[in-house]
Amino acid sequence: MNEIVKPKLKASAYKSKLKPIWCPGCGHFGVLSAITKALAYLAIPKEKVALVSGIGCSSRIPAYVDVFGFHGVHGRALPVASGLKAARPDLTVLVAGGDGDGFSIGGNHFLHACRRNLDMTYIVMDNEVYGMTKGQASPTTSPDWVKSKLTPHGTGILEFNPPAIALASGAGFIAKGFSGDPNKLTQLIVEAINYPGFAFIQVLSPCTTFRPEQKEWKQKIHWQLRETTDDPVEAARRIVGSDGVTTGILFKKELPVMQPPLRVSNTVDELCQEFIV
Amino acid sequence: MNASDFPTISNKADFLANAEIMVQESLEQYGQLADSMELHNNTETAVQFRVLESMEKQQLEWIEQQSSGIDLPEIAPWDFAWHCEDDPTKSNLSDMDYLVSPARALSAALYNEYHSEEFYREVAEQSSDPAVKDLASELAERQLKQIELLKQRLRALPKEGHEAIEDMDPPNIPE
Repeated sequence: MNEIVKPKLKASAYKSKLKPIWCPGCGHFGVLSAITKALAYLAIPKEKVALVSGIGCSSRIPAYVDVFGFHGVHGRALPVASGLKAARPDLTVLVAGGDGDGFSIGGNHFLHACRRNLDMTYIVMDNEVYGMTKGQASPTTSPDWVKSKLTPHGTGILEFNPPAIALASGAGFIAKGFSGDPNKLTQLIVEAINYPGFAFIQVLSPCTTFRPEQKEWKQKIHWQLRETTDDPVEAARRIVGSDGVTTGILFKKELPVMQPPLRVSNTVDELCQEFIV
Repeated sequence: MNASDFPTISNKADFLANAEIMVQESLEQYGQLADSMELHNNTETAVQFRVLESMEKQQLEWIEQQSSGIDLPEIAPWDFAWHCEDDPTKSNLSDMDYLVSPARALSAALYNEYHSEEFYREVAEQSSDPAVKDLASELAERQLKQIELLKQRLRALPKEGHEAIEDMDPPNIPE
């Protein structure tokens, strides 16, 4: 019998029927577009993709993509996704969230996901603000941002540099993208999914409601001119010396991937036995 | 990226594939903006985006009719053959926010539509394939008609349609 070949899906087919409740002009629409385009380009069957998130505006994204989704606990998207990938290595695991969820509440998980190197893609939609709770400074907010009532004189704290942290923590694929250029972002997501190991993409994704000045990002953000390096020392030099608005794959090097061996099978009863002291 | 770096359009199928994706993206973008404006109670601006969505839908249907029976090539999103200096997918529609006035929405859309017209016009001028030239010229003409309709809508707006919507309880109040 001939194998039934499913027709290749269009990007729009990967969108769910739910309409996003993000604000007009929100950068996250561009990320949603890029993720669905990447899945369509790679022709990954919907039932072979899982999208895991934490909490926040951006973490609503699993509801808007028609694949398996898990809208998890604040900051805990990476541990959930790690468990999923360990148990189901056949799945393409995407993890998504915001800068607060990923770098503050889930900061510790970010470090260890980088060094653990399970084969999954982590997309952080970074708008340098906690949008869902009405505009407080996040780990990536610059120290002199004074528009929040909680920090009327600015945080005075140096902002987090996610690519530098990822590099120092052992990540083998580090990229920066821009939601305002969803087609280039699609390319980054495709490369990240194809990379064997933990791939991290920091996506600059403007919050037009609480950070309206980020509309100017479009004029500032540019694609890197240099070739991607696989030398961590050179990558560190570039990342630390970067203007912060250079996009592209900043570092890429294949590293040993963690994939725990699968046990043949466990029945529910067998699993229960393991919890009995 | 310079215009010379863009992949060239070699035949009718190539052109139709690019045009279809470009219009499909505009349609989705206008639809999303209409939805999110409605959700944020900016109904006046939502109406304009709904009209734009409907115009793009008509344009898409026309392109799909022309594509009937033609096997369109698959194009990687990053390989679209935009010939304009500004990529229409990076249009100033990303400047929208929940307080945008109907006039600003239409102006941003006009900018977008002009770029699409420019793309069709450039293909018509540069292509050596008569079938591509004819099709691109016709699409450019259709696009110009759409632009004229948008200009009429812009002119017909009442004076208050040009001012930003006021939020009595704005999200950021600097101390």
